[in-house]
Amino acid sequence: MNFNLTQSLSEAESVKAQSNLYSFFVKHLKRYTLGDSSSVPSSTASEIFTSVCFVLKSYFDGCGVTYSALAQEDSEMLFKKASDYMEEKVSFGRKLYNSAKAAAPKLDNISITDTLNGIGTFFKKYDIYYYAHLIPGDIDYQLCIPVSEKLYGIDYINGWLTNFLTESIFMSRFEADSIERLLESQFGDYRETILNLYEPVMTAAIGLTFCGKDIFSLNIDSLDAEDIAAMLSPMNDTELSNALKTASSSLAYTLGLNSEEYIKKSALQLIPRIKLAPKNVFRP
Amino acid sequence: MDNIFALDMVSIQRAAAVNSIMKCNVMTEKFGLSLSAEQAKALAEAREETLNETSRFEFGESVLPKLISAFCDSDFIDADSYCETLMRLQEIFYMYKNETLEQVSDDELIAFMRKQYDEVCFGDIDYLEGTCLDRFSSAVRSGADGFSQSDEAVRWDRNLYWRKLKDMF
Repeated sequence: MNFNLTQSLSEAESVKAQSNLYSFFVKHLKRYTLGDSSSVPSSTASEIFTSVCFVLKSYFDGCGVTYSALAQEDSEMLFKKASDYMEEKVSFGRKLYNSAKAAAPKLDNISITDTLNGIGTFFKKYDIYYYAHLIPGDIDYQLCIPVSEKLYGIDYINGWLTNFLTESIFMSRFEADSIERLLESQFGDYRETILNLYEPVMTAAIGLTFCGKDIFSLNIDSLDAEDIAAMLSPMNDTELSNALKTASSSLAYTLGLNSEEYIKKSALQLIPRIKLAPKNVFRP
Repeated sequence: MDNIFALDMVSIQRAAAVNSIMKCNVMTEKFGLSLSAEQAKALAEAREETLNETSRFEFGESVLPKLISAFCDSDFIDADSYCETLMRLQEIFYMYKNETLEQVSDDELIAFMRKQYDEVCFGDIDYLEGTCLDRFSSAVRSGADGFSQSDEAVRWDRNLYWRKLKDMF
């Protein structure tokens, strides 16, 4: 991960910025060791420096502050403002987490349960002063649209929670029985899978939209699957993309959701599979 | 860490280290010990080498003034061996900061080293390194490892832990 703070600065500003940053970093490490040590393992110093740069960069980018502030302003004050900004993100993240827990599908899936518990632990242990860039290692549940690997720390968690909440709210529009029937037909014991549970529900709903049938049934029979395949097979990439976008918009409207873009993005991911074996994508 | 800053931190730190070492002569001369500028430079360079070998980053003042202050009145250090002894002590210090898993402060480690050097090792620095500190760091790691399995970290009595550790030695 590269959080270079000085690459856009002039040479003179860069030297001053690095000098300020180094002075701050020394004081920060003294705080870390409570004044008990004059040295730390290089790996620790590297992690803490990365964390400092991540926090400062988040603040600069998020609040529209120019990087030259590093050369012009007191670094302690800058870091204070930056860490206050991170606290706001953490506070927002906690709200997202509570919402995500409340909205999570009541499907008794181990991966979802363990991942949400892991994120709960993340909020208890998250250290914005020394290890702000770290991501917990126990996020097992796979989202339909993964969080960007360019995100770190609380940004990654907030991204994950936002997508998970979007997926959960989508699924909440359907009866639990219908979802369970669908997932059992797809995965067998869906309680043990780490695969994404929203994707088959979205796919079935999109397929039923194409058929013009009741999306809430989540039930595509063999004939429906053949009809959909016959409809989509002749399409070129652009036509297929447009068809999926239109179906996504219709679905979002019918379900009363403002997550149209997320549904579109996830539906477009079906294109390679549709082109390869269209009947299999929407098969019962 | 060396590549993070374009500033020549190594040169800045070396100059600061040499300066702080030379200042110690005021205190140590009364014990017949002093370091020349060349010896101070050699110690500063050895510091860099040892930090590199032990993968440590020293952010504050060099630990050498503390080592000098702690050991300068030892009966087992003379003018001839002063510089070499300091080099060995510095090397041992950084090594055992690693071996004790950051559980021991600089002052605690230096105090232990000095006590053992005089009262157990009688100036034998190899014995200090290979036996006394080895046992000490094992004991610290056992205590730290055993302790870290507990969920009740906030109730750990650091003073009691140190009394027990000192009793062992």
